[in-house]
Amino acid sequence: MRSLILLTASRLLFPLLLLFSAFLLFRGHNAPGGGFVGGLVAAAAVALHALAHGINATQRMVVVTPLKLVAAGLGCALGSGLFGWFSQQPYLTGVWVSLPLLGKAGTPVLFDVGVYLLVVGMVTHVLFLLWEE
Amino acid sequence: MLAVTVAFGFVVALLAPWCVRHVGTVWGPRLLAAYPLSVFFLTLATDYEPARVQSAFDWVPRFGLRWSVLVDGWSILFAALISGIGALVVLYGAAYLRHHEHLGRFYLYLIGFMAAMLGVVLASNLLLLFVCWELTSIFSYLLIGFDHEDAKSRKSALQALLTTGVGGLALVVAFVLLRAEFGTWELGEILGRPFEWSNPGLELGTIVLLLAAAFTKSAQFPFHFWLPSAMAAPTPVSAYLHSATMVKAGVFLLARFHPLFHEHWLWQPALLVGGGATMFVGAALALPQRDLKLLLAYSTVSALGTLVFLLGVGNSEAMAACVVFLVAHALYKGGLFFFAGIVDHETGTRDIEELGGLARQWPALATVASVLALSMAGVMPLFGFVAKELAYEAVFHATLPVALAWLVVCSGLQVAVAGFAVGRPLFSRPRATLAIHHAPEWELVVGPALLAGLSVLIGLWPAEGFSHLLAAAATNIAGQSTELKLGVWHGWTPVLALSFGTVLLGVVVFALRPLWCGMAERATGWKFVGPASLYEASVAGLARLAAWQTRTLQTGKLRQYQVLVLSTAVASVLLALALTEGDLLRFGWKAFSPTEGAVIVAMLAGMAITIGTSSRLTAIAGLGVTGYAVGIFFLMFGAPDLAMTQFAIETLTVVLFVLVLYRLPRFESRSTAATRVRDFALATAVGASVGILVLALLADPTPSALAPYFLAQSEPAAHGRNVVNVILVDFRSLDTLGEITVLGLAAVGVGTLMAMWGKYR
Repeated sequence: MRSLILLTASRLLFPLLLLFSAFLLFRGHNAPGGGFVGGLVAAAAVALHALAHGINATQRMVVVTPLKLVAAGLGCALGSGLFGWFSQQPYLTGVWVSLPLLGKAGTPVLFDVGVYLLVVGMVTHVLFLLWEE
Repeated sequence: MLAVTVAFGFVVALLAPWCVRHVGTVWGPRLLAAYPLSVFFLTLATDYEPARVQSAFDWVPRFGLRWSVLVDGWSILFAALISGIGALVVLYGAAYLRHHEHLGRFYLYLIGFMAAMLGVVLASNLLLLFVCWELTSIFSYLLIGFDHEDAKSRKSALQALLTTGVGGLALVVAFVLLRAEFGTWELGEILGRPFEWSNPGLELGTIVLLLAAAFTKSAQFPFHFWLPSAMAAPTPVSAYLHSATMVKAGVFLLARFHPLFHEHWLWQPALLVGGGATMFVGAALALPQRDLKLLLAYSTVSALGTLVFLLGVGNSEAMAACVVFLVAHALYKGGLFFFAGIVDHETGTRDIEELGGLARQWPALATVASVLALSMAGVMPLFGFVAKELAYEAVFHATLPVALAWLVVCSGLQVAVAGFAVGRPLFSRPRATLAIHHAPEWELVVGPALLAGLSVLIGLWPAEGFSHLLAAAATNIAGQSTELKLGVWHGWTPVLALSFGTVLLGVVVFALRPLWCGMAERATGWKFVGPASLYEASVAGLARLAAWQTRTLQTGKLRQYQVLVLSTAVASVLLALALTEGDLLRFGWKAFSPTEGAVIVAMLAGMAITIGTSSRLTAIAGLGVTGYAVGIFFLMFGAPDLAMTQFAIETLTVVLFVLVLYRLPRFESRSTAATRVRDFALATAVGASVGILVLALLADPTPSALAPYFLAQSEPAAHGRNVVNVILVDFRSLDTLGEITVLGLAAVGVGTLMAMWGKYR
């Protein structure tokens, strides 16, 4: 059963939610938010999409295998620690650089991106596994 | 230089499979033999006097782990043996296993073992020694189980690994004790000075642990059983690891520490008794064997016993005899194993009852094997004779008549074993049933021929430099200057008479073979008292214990897991609270505002719905209500991060729950009244104890040092104003890393469960 209202709303909401999740992710360092909750919001967007369009449509839309997202997230988090390690500090020590237009960028942000990817991947993976038409 | 050589060996090992694949199965191994050969010549060129420590590089400076080597006669002698025989084994293995599909892997293990063994004998740093010691056990495991499709091979490999592994554990503790006492990891410094132990108990403990390590590694009674089982390995491996080198690591270690401990009351008696027992048990068990390799394996056990026994005799003559016997044994036993391999390779059997008349087929090989066997039997003028003479003389001069008699008896048994191993296959009447596939290739024969040639050469014309090296080695392990004169003729001495007596005894024992076989047959019923069955029983017992505890704890029933986990949690919280002194519940009651009251009511209402409903969907909705109410609480008390996460989680949880619902059977109440009471009690206990715990924590007046630190450092040190997030991704990022790893694993786990669910549905 397809609900027209849900379908229309989801078309509008899905990109907005994804945008919101990215916003949460990047503002997290200075204001409420962060990779974890951002990832959850993105996963909720995927769930909404599946509710509206059916799981098969969602699976077609998500081109990346969710487990690969999990691996990529873990890789990001693990890799972010290497920067500190290579500059002769303990593993996972934060390293910050000032970039011209973007402001400051640091390895904790990369770490947070890793958390984000992993959470999205994990929840989407479970959703896809459990959800049958 | 030598330390780098050892490290380089591991690189060569890693390159070995590539080398065999691309250079070929003929020239690849020959190329690989360049490594042991060059090490061999390097050791010959090394000046081993005076003893000195060479440091190559730090490995882990924090733990004091360095690549440092101790260069003296004893270590150089061993290094020369390992690399010299190693080169022969590499060449021999190529012909023996030419058509094996895993030849590259074989060389990876073999060369890796070689490097590790060189590490054991050369290391001055005790930690390096330990690492290499364990590596030899692991490579031995891999090589014994080389035919990994054979269950017996795998079992033997595991047996060897567990037995020597226990010794390795003892060794590391002994080394830690030495470090604690001497304040250094360097063997060169520990051995180089007179020392008074601060605590006799500590010294005794170190000695017992070292003995345990050496006795397991060198297959001393009662740990001798793993060595015959290890004969499941390909024969080149048996020749190398389980005869010439690895099993001598225990002897090496004991001799190394001999100067340090020889005055202790336990040291020499333990070596004398342990070595003596092994010497006899090995020789006696060898007598009834039919398998050529088993025969040689038991006689190796006996020879290892002799070496330890000589250390136990302990005078400087015995030390010299030990060194000489060690080399003589490596030469003749390595060669005899090569011979056994050739026989097996060309005829397809190792059973000495089925073999016969090989001398007529292969006269050259027969000559070589006979020389080796005569050296083993200690017949004039071969090297084995020289070694035995020296051993007899040492025990004779130590005036230990019982020990001397014991040594003569065991040597007599060894003579008979040499006869069984070589005399029967070569010279008994030819068997019609025996199919000889082809004549041995020259690469198979060159190894034993060289070793036999050396046995003759050293016996008749011992080189000056060689005796000097042996004397230096004996000096190192005796802790005092030791003279050594190699020579066949010592004049008409009582010892010469004993030598003749030994051979006579050997001939008698040889002739009585049916008697020994009959005795062995009658004794099979007594196998259950042997140490091997003890090992079997303890391994099986461990497996049974594991099975029992798995059945009891890991039932696969989610409910039972919950009951176990939760009741453990409750018990530990209550225990901790009971042990804590002072008034725990000193918190101020405060009236709550109407808003807070409303949230609490919503929370309780959600809970009541969840418990009371008979529909799963309603129960989930009730849980969601409670969860959202908790989120509102977070918001009211200034934790927006937590609140946001809580809302997102609650939403997704409801979605996931609904998805799971589809897959569950119909909701019905199957619990008995008793179960319900139990569950109710447990749930109440969990809630109450967690509640009390939280209240007790809040009442704790100790101010936290962390919170102010995090608050103060968040902006300046970590460039973030959201302290919660900074803690998560920076201050405590290692924790977070652990958590997300668990999350990722859970994702994989859910996938696996679902796949299995599909299968078993």
